[in-house]
Amino acid sequence: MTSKIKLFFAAAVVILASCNKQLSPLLNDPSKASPSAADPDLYLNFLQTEFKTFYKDATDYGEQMTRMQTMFGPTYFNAYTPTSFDEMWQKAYMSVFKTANTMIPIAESKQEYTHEGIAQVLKAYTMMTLVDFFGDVPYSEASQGLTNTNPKVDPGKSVYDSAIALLDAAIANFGKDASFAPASDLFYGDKKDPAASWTTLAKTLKLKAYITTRLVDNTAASKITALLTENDLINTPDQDFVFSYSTHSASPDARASHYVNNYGTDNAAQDYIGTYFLWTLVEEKPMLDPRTPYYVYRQLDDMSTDSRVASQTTRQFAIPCLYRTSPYPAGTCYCLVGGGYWGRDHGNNEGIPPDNALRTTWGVYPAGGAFDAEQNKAIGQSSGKITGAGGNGINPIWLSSFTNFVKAEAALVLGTAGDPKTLMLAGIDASMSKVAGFAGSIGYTLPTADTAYLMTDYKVHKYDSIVGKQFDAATSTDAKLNLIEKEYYLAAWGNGIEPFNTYRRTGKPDNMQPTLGPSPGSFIRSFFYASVYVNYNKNATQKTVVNEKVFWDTNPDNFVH
Amino acid sequence: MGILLLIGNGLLAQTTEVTGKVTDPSGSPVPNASIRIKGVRGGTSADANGAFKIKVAPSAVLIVSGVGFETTEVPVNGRTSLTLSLKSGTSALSEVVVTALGREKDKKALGFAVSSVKAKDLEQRPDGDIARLLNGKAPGVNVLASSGISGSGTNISIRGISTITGGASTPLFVVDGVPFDGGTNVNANFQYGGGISTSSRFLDLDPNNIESVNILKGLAASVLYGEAGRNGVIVVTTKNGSGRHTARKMEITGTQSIFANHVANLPDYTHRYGGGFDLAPSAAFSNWGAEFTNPPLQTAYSPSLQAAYPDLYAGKNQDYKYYNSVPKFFRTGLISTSSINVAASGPNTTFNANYSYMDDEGFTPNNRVYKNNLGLGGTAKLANKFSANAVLNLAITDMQTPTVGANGGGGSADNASVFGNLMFTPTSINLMGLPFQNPVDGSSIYYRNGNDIENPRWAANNNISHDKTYRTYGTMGLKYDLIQGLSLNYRFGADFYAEYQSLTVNKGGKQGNAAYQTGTYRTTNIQNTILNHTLSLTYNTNLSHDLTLNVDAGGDLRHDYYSQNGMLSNGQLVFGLFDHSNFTSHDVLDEGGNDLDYKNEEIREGIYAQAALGYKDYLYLTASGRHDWVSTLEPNNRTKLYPSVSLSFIPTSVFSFLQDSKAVNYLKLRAGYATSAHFPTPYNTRSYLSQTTNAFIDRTGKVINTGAIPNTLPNPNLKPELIREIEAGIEGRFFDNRVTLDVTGYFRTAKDQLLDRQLDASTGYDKIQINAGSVDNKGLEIQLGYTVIRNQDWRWDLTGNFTLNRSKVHDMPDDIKQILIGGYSGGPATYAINGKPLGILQGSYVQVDPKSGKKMVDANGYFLGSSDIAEIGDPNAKYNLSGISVLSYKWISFRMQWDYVRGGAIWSNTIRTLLSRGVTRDTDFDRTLPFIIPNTVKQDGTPNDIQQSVDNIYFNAYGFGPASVTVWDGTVIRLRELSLAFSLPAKILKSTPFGSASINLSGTNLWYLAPNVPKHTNYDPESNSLGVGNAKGLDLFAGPSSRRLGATLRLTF
Repeated sequence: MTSKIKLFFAAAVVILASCNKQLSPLLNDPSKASPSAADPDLYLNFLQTEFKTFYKDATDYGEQMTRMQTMFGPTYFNAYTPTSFDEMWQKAYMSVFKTANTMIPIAESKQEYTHEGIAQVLKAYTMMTLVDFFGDVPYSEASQGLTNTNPKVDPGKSVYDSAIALLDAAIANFGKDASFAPASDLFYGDKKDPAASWTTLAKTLKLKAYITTRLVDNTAASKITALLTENDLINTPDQDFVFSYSTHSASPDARASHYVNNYGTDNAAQDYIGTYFLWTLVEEKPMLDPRTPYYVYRQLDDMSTDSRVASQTTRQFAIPCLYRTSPYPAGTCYCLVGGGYWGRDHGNNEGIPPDNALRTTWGVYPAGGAFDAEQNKAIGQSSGKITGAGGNGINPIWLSSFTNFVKAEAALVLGTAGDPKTLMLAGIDASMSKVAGFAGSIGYTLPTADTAYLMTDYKVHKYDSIVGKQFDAATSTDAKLNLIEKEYYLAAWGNGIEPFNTYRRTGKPDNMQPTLGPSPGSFIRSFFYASVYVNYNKNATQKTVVNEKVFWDTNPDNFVH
Repeated sequence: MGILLLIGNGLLAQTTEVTGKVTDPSGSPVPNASIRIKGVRGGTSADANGAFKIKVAPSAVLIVSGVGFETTEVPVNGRTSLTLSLKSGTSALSEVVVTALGREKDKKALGFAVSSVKAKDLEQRPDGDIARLLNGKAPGVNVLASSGISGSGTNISIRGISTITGGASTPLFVVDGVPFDGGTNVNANFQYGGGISTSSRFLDLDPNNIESVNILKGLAASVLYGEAGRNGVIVVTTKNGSGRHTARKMEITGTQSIFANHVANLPDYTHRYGGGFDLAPSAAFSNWGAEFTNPPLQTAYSPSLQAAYPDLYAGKNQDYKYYNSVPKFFRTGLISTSSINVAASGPNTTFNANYSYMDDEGFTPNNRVYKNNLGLGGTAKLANKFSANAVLNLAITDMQTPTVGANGGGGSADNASVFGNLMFTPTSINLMGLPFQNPVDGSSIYYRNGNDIENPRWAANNNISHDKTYRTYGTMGLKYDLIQGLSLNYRFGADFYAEYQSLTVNKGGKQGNAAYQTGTYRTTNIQNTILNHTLSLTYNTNLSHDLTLNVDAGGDLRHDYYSQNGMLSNGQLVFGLFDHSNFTSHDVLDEGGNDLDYKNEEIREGIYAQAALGYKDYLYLTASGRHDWVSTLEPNNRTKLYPSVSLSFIPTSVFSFLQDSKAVNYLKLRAGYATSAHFPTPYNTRSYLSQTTNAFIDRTGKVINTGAIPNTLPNPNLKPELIREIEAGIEGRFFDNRVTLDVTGYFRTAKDQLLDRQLDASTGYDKIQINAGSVDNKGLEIQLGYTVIRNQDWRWDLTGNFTLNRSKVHDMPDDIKQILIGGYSGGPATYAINGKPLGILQGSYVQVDPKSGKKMVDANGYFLGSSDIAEIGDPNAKYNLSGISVLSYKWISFRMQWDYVRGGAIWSNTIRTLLSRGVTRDTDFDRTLPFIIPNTVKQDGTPNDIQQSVDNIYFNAYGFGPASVTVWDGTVIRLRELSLAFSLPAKILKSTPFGSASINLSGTNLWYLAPNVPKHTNYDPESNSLGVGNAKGLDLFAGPSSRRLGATLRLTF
C-alpha cells in the first residue's frame, strides 16, 4: 500500500512541475501591444491631440478670469477647487512631457528632426502655460517615474528659461534635413514647408515669452528687437498656430469643445458668455463690433418682443437679474446688453435659471457654431434647431493679430521698432480678416448674404477710425496701452491664456466688470495647484491664498480686480 | 427485470421504518436533533417537535445528537417506535461542521471560530440575495447593500478589510466544495451607474436550496483554500450537495412565497412651500419658492409640454400646490418565489433535485429580477470501495433597472440616473399627473422652460441597465478507500457563466453627455470559467488509545478565465429600437473611456497538508501549510508558503470540579496562528504600449491613431503579500445549557500590501502597484445565547451578535503621502493614511478660527472653505449589534431580528441636496426672515453678523459648501426581520397527504431610525454609491432602501 502512496506523491510532483510551465505565458496581457510596437508618428499624434486638450482646459479658465466666459464665484477663493486643474496637470505631465521625452530620442535616432522639433515646441508652450497658471511647478525633478516620486518645484523663471532653450533647440532641429516628415502634422501639415512654419512659430513663441516676462527682464527690449529685426514671426493669418477640429460627431467626437457643450444636445447652451465681453462688443464703442455676429449667436435676439419671454413670470424665471437693481456704479454693464445679448455677470453664483435655450452662445468663430443673422432660434441637434457650422472650429492658440498687438505693446512700453498705433490697427485688421474669412476656410456657407450682418470693408474702416481716434486722443502711455490691450482682448476670442496673462501684466483692459458680490477677495494671480499633485506629492503644499503672483508678475497686490 | 425486482425486494426487505421522538431528560422535545445511522452515510433530523422517521435495518445503531446534548448511540433492535431521551451535554459538544475543503469535523476539535447559519434562517425570505440574508446572523460578518434596487450589488466582508486597494473584500464562496465566483462584474464606473446596476454573482445562488452555511472567518480556518480564502470563506452546502438521507423514501417539498416590495424611506416633503427661489414661484430646481395659498397660484405649463400637447396645455394654467410627486413615483413591487424540492434516498444512494423561480419587482418602475434555479445532486456508495457524488446547478438570473449613476445633486444630472433628478423634485411639480414623453419623437418633456432636465419618469422608462446571466456550476467527486482510514479523493469542479449586460438609452433624454443623449446602446458579453481539480489523501488513525491522527494532504489546480467583448453605440436612428445596426457610431470604450474588450487568465496551483492530533477528547492540535504558485507574478516571485497552527482545549472534559459544576456545562478554549497570501490580479508586471484607433478625425477626414505610454508603471518585482492572524476564543454553555457564549478575539495584519499607489502626475505616471504599507485589523466577535423559556409548549431563545473591528494603516513608506481608495479624487473620497483607520473620509472643510475654535465664514456670510483636503469623518462603524428573539408556542413561532450599527460617518449627497434645495420639512420654518449661520465667526475673528436670505445660506453654504458640512453619523437601529410561522402539528396532518405544512408571515426592514441625520430626510445610511468595493461612506443618490412584507406557504408530501 505504501507504494501506492509513493506513486501518488510522485504523480503529484510530476503534474505540478508540468503545470508550472504554463504559468509564464500568462504574464503578458493578450489585449495589449508590446512596447516594441512604438512608433514616433503614433506618439506624435498622441502628443498633438493631448496638447489640444491641455490648451482647451487652460483657455477656459483664462476666459473665465477675464470675463469672456462667466466665473461663478462668488469669491475668487471659492471659484475653483483644486480638482478643477487635475486634467490640465495630467495632460501636461503624463501626456505632453512624457510623450515628448519618450519620442525625442527615438525620433532623433531615426533622424526625424521635424518630429523632434514639434515635440519640443509643444512641450515648451505647455511649460510656459503651467508657469503662467500655477507659478513654480515641478520640472527638473519631474518626469522621472519611480526615481523621484515627490518632485519638488522649480522656480517659474528657470522653467521659462528651459522652455526658451527648448524653442531654440527646436529651431535648430527644424533647420536640419529630416529623413521623414510626420505622417500627421495637425497644425502645419497642409503647408508647403511645415518645418519653416514651425520655425516661425517657435520664434513667435519666444516673442510671447519675452513680452510676458518683460517686467522682470531688463533685456526684454533687446531680445524683442532681435526677433523683430529677423521678423520671422507669425505676421499673416496663413501662418496662424491653430488646432482645427472637424464636424465628425461621434467615435470620436472631433468637434470643437465649445460646440459640443452648447450645440451638442438639445439641452442647448451650457456655457455662459460674460456680460462684460458682450458689452465690449456691442455697446462700448459707438458701433457694433463687426465681429459680433461671428463671435456670438443670440438664441433670442430681442428680449422685449420675443414670445418665449413675453409673460413677466417666464421672463423673471429666465433672467432674474433683470428685476433687480444693478449693484454696480453707473456706466458698468449689468445683466443684459442691448436687446438680446444675454450673458451672466462676473461671479454670479445663483442657481442656473432655465435659460439654456435663450442665452447668447458661441458663434461660428472660433467654435464652429452659428452665425447670428437674427434667426431667433434655439441651438441644438434636432430638426428645427440651429446647428451652425457643425463644430468645425479652431483653437486660436497664436494668431498674427496677437503678434501685432504684442509688437504694439513692446513699441509703446519698451520702445522697440514700429509705431504702436499702426501696429495696433494692423492687429485689428488681421483679426477682422481672420474672422471674416473663417467660414470660407472651413467650407461653410453663412446663412445670409445681407451686409447688415456680414463684415464689410466699410465697417472695418469705420471701426479702425474709431479706435484710431481714441488712440490719438489718449494722452498717457497708460491710456494708449489700455486701447491696445482692449483690441488684443477682443481679437483673442477663443483664447483665454493671452488675455489672462496680459491682464495680470498690464492691468488692461482697465474697465473689467467687477464681481457681482461686493466682497470677492483678491483676484486670482495664480491658480490652486491640482489636487492630483498636492494629494500625492509629499513635497507639495497647497496655496492658502489665490493672490500668489507668478514670477513675471511684479504688480502690486490690488493691481487687478 | 426479474433480477432488478428481486434486488429491489431484497433491499426493501432489509429495512424497516422507525418513527420516534427525541426528548430531553424532562421529556420536552429536542427540536432539530440529528439522527445518523452508524456506519452509513447520511441520516435525518427531527422536526421542531422532536419527531422523526427513518428507514433503517432492524439491526442498525442510531447516533442521535442535539445541540447542547450528549451524543447517544441507540440500537434499533427491530423496534419501529422509539423515544430517545438525550442527556444534557456536559462533556462535549458533538456538533459537526463543514470546514475547509468540505471536510466535516467535530466542532470541539477546531481551534478557530466558525459560524453556522441554518437553512431555516435563510429560506422563505423575501430576498434572493444570500449575502443580505446573512446580515446580522453571524458576528464578524459585515454586509452593506449598495442600494434598495432589486438585484443591486452587495458588499460583504469578514473581520474588516485587510487590503487598501486590493479590490472588494468579498469572501470566497465555496458551494458544495467548489469555488464559486461571487464577484461583481462592473462594466461602467460607479459614476455611470455600474456600481449599483450590476448584480453580485452570488445572486445566482438560491437561498431556498441551501442546507447550511458555514462561515470560516479566520485564516486558520481557510488556509487550505489558499490565497482565495484570505477574506474568509462562506461554505455553502446546497440541498443537492448535502447527501442527506430523507426520513421517507421520497420527499417532495413545495414552497410558495408572495411579498410586497415597498420603498422604505422617503423624505417628509414640505407641504408649505413650492418650487422657486427667493420666495418667488419659478421653474427653478430648488424648493425655495412661494408659500402655498388657497386658492392656489396659477402658473403656465412648460414650453416643452405646450409644444408636445398644444391642445391640452397651450395657454392654460396649472395650480401651484403640493402634488406629492416623489412618493407617487414609486410603486409596490410584487415578489413571488416558487420552489419545489424532491429528495429521495436508498441505503447507499441519495438524490435531490430542486427548481425555483423568483420574480422580484423593485419599488422603482422597471426594476426587476427574474431568477430560475435548477439543480440536482446525488451520492452513491459503491461496493468496490468507491464512493461518488455529483452536483449540477443551472441558474438564470435576469436583472434590470433604470440606471443609477452617481450624482452631485445639480439641476441637470451629471450622470444618467433615475434618482439623479428625482428625490429633490420641487413639491409644486406635478410629476405624475402630466405626460413625460413627447408623442412625436419620444423625447423627454418636463417642467423647465429650457427643457434642460430629464423627467425621472422618462429615465425610468427609457434608460435601462440589463444584466442577464446563464450559469452552470457543479462538481463531481470520487473517493477510493485505499486501506482502513486512508482514502484518496479527487474532485473536479466547474463554474461557468455567460453574462450579458446591456445599457439601453433611447434618444431624447437630457442626462449624460452629448453622445449619450443621441441614444446609447452598450452591450457586454462576459464569459467566466473557473475549473478546479483537487486530488487529496485523507488518513485517520488512532496512534494509541488516547491519541488520534487525522491527515489531509493534496494539491489543487485552479484555472480562471474571464473574457469580455463589448461595444458602445451612439446615435440612435429609430426611437425604441436597440440593435447596434440602428446606431450611427460604434466604439470599443465605455462611457468612462475604459476598454470593453479584455481578457484575464490566471492559474493557481497549490499543495497543502494538514495534520490534526487529538489527545483523549479534550486536546486537539492542528497544523497545516500550503504552498502556492500563481501565474500573475514573474517566476522568481510567484510562490508563497504559508503555515498555520491551532489548538483546542476542553476543560470541561478534564477537570472534575467543572464536570460537577451546575453552572458550567461545557467550556472550550481555542487559539490559533495562521497566515495566508494575497496575489495580485494579472498583467501588472510587464510594460506595454497603449494604442488608440480613431483618436481624432481631422477636417480632411483623415483618421488619427495614437500610441502612448500607459500611465500605470509596471512593476516586475511585485511579490505576493503575506497576511498573518492570531485568534483566540472561548465557547461555553452554562446553567443547564440555557446560556451559550462564543467569544473570539483576533488580530490580523497584512504587511507589505499589494498597493495601487497613486503618483503625482508630474512623475509622468499616475499609478504603480507596489508592496508597501500595512493594515492591522483587530476585533471582537461575541455571540451570546439565552434560552429564557424551555418547556413542553413554550420556548424562547434570545441571541445577541456583537461585532467590533478596528483597523489601522501603518508603516507606509515615507515617500507616500496617502492612498486614495475610492470616490472622487480631490473631492470627498476615502483614503489610507498612516496611523489612521483604513478608509478615512477626506474632503474640503470649513476653516476654523484658531483663537475661538469656531468655524469661519467668508465676506458673504457663507462657510469659508479650505483649499486643501483633510479628514472629515471615519466611515467605519464603531460596532454592530444584532439581537434575535425566537419565541415559540407549540406549532407557532415568532421571530424578530434587530440590528444596530453604531457610528460610521457618511458623506451624503442625498441629504445635502434635500436640505440645500429646501424640499423637506427640515426647512419648513418662516423663510422670510434673514439668516446668519449660527455659531460662526468672520475672518477677523469677530462674531458672524452677515445676514443672507435663508435660501442663499442653504444653497451656497450647504449645497455648494465644503464637503465636511454634509458628513453625518450613520448610527442606525433597524427591525431587520420579523416573522410569524405556523407549522401544522402532525395530528392535524395525519389524515392528509402532507408530511408537514407551514405558513410563515414575514417582513424585512420594517422600521429603522437613524437618529443623527436631519429628521425629515428619513435617510437610510445603509447604502453605498460606490457599489461593491472597499470604499464606504459615500452616497451620491444611491436611492432609498426596500421594505418587504409577505407570506410563505410550505408543504411537504
